[in-house]
Amino acid sequence: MYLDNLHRSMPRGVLFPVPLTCMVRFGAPLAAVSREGKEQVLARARGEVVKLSGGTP
Amino acid sequence: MNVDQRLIGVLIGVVALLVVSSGVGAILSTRVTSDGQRAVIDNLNARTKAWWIMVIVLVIAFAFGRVGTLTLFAFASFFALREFITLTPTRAGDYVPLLLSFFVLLPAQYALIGYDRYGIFAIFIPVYAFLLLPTVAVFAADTEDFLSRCAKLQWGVMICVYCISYAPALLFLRIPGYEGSDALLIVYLLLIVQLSDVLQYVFGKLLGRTKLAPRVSPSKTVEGLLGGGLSATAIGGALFPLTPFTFFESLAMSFVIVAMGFVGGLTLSAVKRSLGAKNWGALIEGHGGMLDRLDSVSFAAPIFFHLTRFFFA
Repeated sequence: MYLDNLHRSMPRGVLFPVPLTCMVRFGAPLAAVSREGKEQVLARARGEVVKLSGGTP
Repeated sequence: MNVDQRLIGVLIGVVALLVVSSGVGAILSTRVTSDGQRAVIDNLNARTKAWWIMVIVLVIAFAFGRVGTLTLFAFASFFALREFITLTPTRAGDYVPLLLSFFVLLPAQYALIGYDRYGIFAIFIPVYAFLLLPTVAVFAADTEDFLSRCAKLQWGVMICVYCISYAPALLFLRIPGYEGSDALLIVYLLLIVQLSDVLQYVFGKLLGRTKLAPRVSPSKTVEGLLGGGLSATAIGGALFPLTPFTFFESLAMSFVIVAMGFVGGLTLSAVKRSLGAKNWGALIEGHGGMLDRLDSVSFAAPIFFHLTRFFFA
C-alpha cells in the first residue's frame, strides 16, 4: 500500500493537512515464500511499495 | 421584476441549448461506427451531462444571492488551487505558506469582496500575500529552489484565488442606471467565456484542420478559434440587453472576453504541461478538473471587471 502525496499534504509533525489530492494505491498481496529470511521479505516488500510509488528508490 | 425575467430568459436559453445538445449526443451515439468516433461522442455526452450539473449548481448559488455566489466561487477557487498545488512540486518547508493560502488568504479575499472593500481586495493578494508568503516560507529555513517555490505558489494563488474572485466581484460594481441588475453581468461573463470554449470545441471538431499550437494545446485549431471565437463575440453583442452596454460596446466587451478567455486557456495549458500533466484533475467528468473549466474565466474576469469599472461605473 502506497500513500501518494501524503508527505506533502501532512509533513512530519504537523497537526492539520493541506488539502491536496492524495491517492492510496493498493498492490497485490505478497505471496509467502518459504525459507526466506526477515531481511529478504522486507527487501521484497519495500521493492513492491517502491513500484507502487512509480518512482525510483 | 424586470431583472428576474431577463435571468429566466437566459436560463431558458441555456436549458434549451443543453436539451438540443443531449438530443444530438443521443442520436450520434446510436450512429457511431468506429472506436475513434465512439470516444469523441462519449466525451461529448459526458461534457453535456457535466454541463447540466454545473448549470444546476450555478442556478442554486445565484438563487441565494450574493452570499451564495461568493460561496460557490470560493469553493471553485479552493478546488482550483488544490489542483494547482497538487501538480506543483512543494517541499516540507512550504507547509505553512500552503496552509495560509488555503485557509486564510482564500477566505479573506472572498470576505473582502463580500464586504465590498474594493480598495483592499484589489491589492490584497498582489501586495500583501506576495510579501507575506515568502516571509513565512523563509522561516522554514529551506533555501532549496526557494525562488521557484515562492513564485509557483504566488502564481497559483493569483490565478486560482485572485483572478477567479473577480467574477463574483462583478456583483458589487455600482453602475449608474443598472442598479440591482448586477447578477446579469456575471451571467453575461460566464455565458460568453463558456460559449466561446464550447463553440471553439464544436467548430474545431467539425471543421478543424490546422493545428494552432500543437505543443501547447493539441486540441486547439485555427478553424475552431475563428468559428467559435467570432460566433461567441456575435452572440455577446446580441446579448447587450443583459448589460449596461450598447450593442457595439457589448460587441467590443465580448471580443475582449473571448480573446482573454482564449489566451487564458492557452497559457494555463502551457503551465499545466510544464508541470507534466494533461488535465488539471478529474473533478468534472469529460472536462478534466476545475481549472480546465475555469482557465479562461481566470484571465477574462479581471479584465472584464476593470474595463467595466473604468468606463461604466
